[in-house]
Amino acid sequence: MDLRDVPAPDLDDPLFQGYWAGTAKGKLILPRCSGCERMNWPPRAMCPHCRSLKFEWEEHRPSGTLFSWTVVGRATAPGYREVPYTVGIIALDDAPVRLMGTVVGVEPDDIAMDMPLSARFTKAGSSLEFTVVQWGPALSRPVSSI
Amino acid sequence: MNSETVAYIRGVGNTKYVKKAERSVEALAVEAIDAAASDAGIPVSEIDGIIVYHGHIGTDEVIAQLALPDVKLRAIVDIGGASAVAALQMASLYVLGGVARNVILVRGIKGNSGPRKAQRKSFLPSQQFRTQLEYVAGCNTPSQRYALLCRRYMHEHGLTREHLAEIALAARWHANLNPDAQMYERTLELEEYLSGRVIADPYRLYDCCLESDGACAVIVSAQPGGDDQRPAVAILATEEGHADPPDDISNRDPFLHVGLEKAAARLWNAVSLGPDDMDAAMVYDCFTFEVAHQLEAAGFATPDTIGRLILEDGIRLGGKLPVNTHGGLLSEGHMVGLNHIVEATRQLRGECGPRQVPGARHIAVTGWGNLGDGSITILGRHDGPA
Ligand SMILES: [Zn+2]
Repeated sequence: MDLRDVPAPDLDDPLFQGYWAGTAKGKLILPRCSGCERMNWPPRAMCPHCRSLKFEWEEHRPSGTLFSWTVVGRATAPGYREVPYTVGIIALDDAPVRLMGTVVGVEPDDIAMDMPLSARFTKAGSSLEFTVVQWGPALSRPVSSI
Repeated sequence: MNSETVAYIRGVGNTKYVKKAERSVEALAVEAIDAAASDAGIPVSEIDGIIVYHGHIGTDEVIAQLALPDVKLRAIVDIGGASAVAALQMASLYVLGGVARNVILVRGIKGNSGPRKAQRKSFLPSQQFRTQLEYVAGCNTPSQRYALLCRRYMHEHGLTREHLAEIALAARWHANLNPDAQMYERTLELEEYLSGRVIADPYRLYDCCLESDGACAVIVSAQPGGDDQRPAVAILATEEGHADPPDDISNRDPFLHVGLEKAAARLWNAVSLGPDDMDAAMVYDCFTFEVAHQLEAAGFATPDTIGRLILEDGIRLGGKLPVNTHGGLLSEGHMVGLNHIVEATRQLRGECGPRQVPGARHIAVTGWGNLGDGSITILGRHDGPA
């Protein structure tokens, strides 16, 4: 999947900066509230539970299970011209967080609910300036690729 | 909102819904508004409040085109497809509070003639999450987001393609009885439904709403507008509700929780009626599954009985709960749910001819929008002078 036409988000957005810095290094890094230690995802400037404005970036195991998915047959998203492709929601193994990401390396007919998946850190953007997390059949260790 | 004093739907009007209209959106809207005013028995100049929706004809255009002399309020209710029903609550409060006498809800769009949905400006909340989380993952349409809900629901509750098919086929069956419907002359059989191309699986072509050109309008007033010949239609209660959180679907707990659950719980608590008292339901049908999801969230079924309601008890005319007798967004036209209120009003007056639900007295109308906002109203027939 060529992701060069995928528009880059604001990589310096304080709520997401740690996440994107992490994916660039092949790591899955998510915020944890410094006040109540809950994980808020999507990240929020103020914790909805304890109203703390502080959070720490914390590395997580880049593995999970497929919680839901859709096979996209009509291309609509910028940078995603080739169809079909699969968008999934992945429940992480070591955190009460679900991430949205494309599911790769498995044919649509072979996709199954709750299948174990692991992260693929894939370069994207016109100058490959950011790294998205894609999810493929579970491997023993994460793989970086272009 | 529920009170002893209720507001009424005084008049309704619409254009025919078509794939591509030659006339301007202003001309379409004026036709629908004229029809609603005429139906209400008032001159257009007595419209003094306007509630519209993003992307459709705006309030200033309505005021200008109709030369409305004394509009006292204008508003946009912006919770996507939940807006039309939610606006009934706002309009009711305005007219009962004496702010305005005749508040008109308007939808008018050339949806199919303008840019395609995916290219239009998104009005979703928390755009930061859309760009940071969804667009980078190739997800940017309601069909894709809601397909994720649909898939999980099918897995957890045993809903199948047969159920989704019946929702689409029932809508088309009804539209074939509705001369104003975009799909009036187009039948749909199971085989064609099943062969629809994939949009965002489980959603295929015929699971998805139409894009339409047209307009419709609903006038809310403290005056009933009925007479000896025509029953009045009262807005008995209306509620809206928001999912936790309202601006992201991926991390809700439970995942399938939606705002309509809260709205419906408040609604049934506020009235001396229950889901079994409804003679029909107009359910916001942006996609087939959302009908099943909302029927459950609104209390018409449980996850265990929703399949039976759809396939055995029946959601077509003559079934236990006729749903979307106009054809809905799937087969009548996409007026963002305001057309559901128009249909419920006409059903309660007994004006629906071959698609009439015999003796309809109470009809629930739902809205579903953005990422899980919900709304629900109960409209009731008042016979004789109010
Ligand atoms: Zn906190």
